[in-house]
Amino acid sequence: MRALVIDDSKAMRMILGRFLKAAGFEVSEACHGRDALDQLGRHGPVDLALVDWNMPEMNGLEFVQAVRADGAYGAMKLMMVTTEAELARVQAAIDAGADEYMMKPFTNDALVDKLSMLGLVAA
Amino acid sequence: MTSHVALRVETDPAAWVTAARKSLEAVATTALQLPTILLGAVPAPTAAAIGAYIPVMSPGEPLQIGIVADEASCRHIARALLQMSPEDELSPGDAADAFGEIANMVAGLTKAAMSAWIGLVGLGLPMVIHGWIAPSESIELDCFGAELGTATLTIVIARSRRRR
Repeated sequence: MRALVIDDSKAMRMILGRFLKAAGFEVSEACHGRDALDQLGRHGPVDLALVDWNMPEMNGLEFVQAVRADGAYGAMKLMMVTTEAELARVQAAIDAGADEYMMKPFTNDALVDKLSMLGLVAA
Repeated sequence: MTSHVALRVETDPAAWVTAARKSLEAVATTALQLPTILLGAVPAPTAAAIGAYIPVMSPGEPLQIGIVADEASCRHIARALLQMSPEDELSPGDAADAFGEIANMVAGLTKAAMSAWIGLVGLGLPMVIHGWIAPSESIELDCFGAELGTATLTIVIARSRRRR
């Protein structure tokens, strides 16, 4: 399975990428939504994208909206991973087409739970 | 005659400090897994290597939440976030990036805790600087200290001085 980690923080890309590789994913990274869309255009859809909210160029919500507007990416699982913790933000992301939402800071166990709910790893 | 009065919702500075203290503790426990001692109010930083500041984009009361530390403390908590051992190589850029992300988490939780008073507002992108924000005629600071493992931090809430 292929995963794309989209975050403007290299530290977060390292943390999430390391976890996903250990879970058996082939991982690529993007530093904002526009970069991620470019990569999807070049390499095709991935099974999972972990998406930060606050990023330069194109934020995570705009990325989710763009992906869900393109039928070629219909099977992609999208999970927001963000410091935006208010319920209204969660609702906005789900309304835009995100499949899951995880708030930073998180534990590895919480990440496993979320990916399990998406059917991507065994609980 | 029409007068324009800017809307300004002023929150209690002590409420921000309380929210930031709880948020730092949550980040230290969850993401850093470091023993944490929260200290009381401390003076504004006057010497430090690195400060990471996150703008809270409240239209009524814009402010910045920051963490200020010397370089060794910055590297200590950066290594904790990245789950690196002291022997692992950590570039200054990666340490600064991780430091900014820790400040981002603290600011996000603080903002969420204050959302009942400030409404739904966004966070700006982290600004990591060599230096610190000093109090001035236009900026007031509320600061408290914390010890996370061997790191000594000052958490700063910087806001425009209230109109009299």
